[in-house]
Amino acid sequence: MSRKFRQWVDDYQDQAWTLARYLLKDPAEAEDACQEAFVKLWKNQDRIDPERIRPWLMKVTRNGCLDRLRRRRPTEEWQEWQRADDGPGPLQDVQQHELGQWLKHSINGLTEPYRSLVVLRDVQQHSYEEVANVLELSLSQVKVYLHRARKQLREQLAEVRP
Amino acid sequence: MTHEGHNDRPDAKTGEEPLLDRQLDSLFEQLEIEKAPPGLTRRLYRIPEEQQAGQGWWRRLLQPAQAPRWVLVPALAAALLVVGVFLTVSRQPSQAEIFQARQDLAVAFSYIDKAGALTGQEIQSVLGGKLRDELRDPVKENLSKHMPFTEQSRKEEST
Repeated sequence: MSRKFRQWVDDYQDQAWTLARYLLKDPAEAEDACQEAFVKLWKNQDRIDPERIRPWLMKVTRNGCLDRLRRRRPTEEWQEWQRADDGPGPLQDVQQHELGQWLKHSINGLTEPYRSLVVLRDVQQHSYEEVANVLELSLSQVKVYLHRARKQLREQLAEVRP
Repeated sequence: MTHEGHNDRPDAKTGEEPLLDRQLDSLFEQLEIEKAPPGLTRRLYRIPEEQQAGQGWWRRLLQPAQAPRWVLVPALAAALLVVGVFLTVSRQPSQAEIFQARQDLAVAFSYIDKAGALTGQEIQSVLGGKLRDELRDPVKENLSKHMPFTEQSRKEEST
C-alpha cells in the first residue's frame, strides 16, 4: 500500500504543487495544502477508483487551497481577491521570456474558477473531461469559462507584448 | 504543442485574436509544471508512516496491507466462539433461577410423594401395613436426607 502511495506521490506531486502555487502564491502554504491533499488521499485510498486518482487529488488540492484563501482573507482581502484583477499592468519592451513571467502573474490575477481552469487545462494539459470533473462543472461550462479566461489573457497580452 | 479544443470555442476569432492566441499558446508552453521542492517530496513520502503511527495497534492489524480481508472473517468467528464458550462455562445461575429450579424440584417431589402414597395404599391393601412401611420409609428418609429442601418446599406449598 505504501509503495502504491509512493508511486502516486511521484506521479502527481508536481501537478498538485503547481496548482497550489498558482492558487496560494505562498510556497510554504502551498506545501501545506499539498500535504493535506495527500493525507486525504492516503485516508481515502480504498474508496477512490484507481483510474480517478489524479482528478480526485486535483479537486481536493484546489478545494483545500480555496479554503485556505477564505481563511486567510476573511473580509476585504478575500473580496479583493474575488474581484477581477487587472494583472501586472502594461510592460514596455518585454522580451519573450519576460512574457512568460508576465503570463504567470496574469494567471495569478484571474479570478476563480478561471485561474484553476487555465492552470489545469493550459498549463497542466488535463483533458476537458478531467477539468470538468475537478471543478465540478459541465463540459460546456468548462469551454465557455476557459474561453473567457483566455480572452482576458489575450486582452492583457495585446497591451504588453512588444 | 497545440492546445486541443482551442478551436472549438463558442465564438469565432476575429482580427488579431488568432495571432494573440498563438502567442498565448507559445507562452503556455514555457510554463512547465513546476517541480515540487524536495522538502515537500520528503513530507509526502512520510505520510503513510505518520498516519500508521497515529493509529492504534488493532487498527494497524486490520489494515488491508497487513492482514488480508479474508483472514478477518474466520478470525472474528473464532473470537466470537471463544467468547461464547467462556460466557457459557463461567455463567453462574441467578438467585431467581435457583429459586425457580427449587420450585420445580419441589413440585416433582410432591408428585413422587403422592405416587409413593398411592403405591403404599396399594401395597397395604395387598400385603399389609408392615411391609408398606418397610418399603416406603427408607425411600422417604433417603430423599429427605439428600434433598433437605423438599420438606421445606412442601411446607411452603401447604401454606
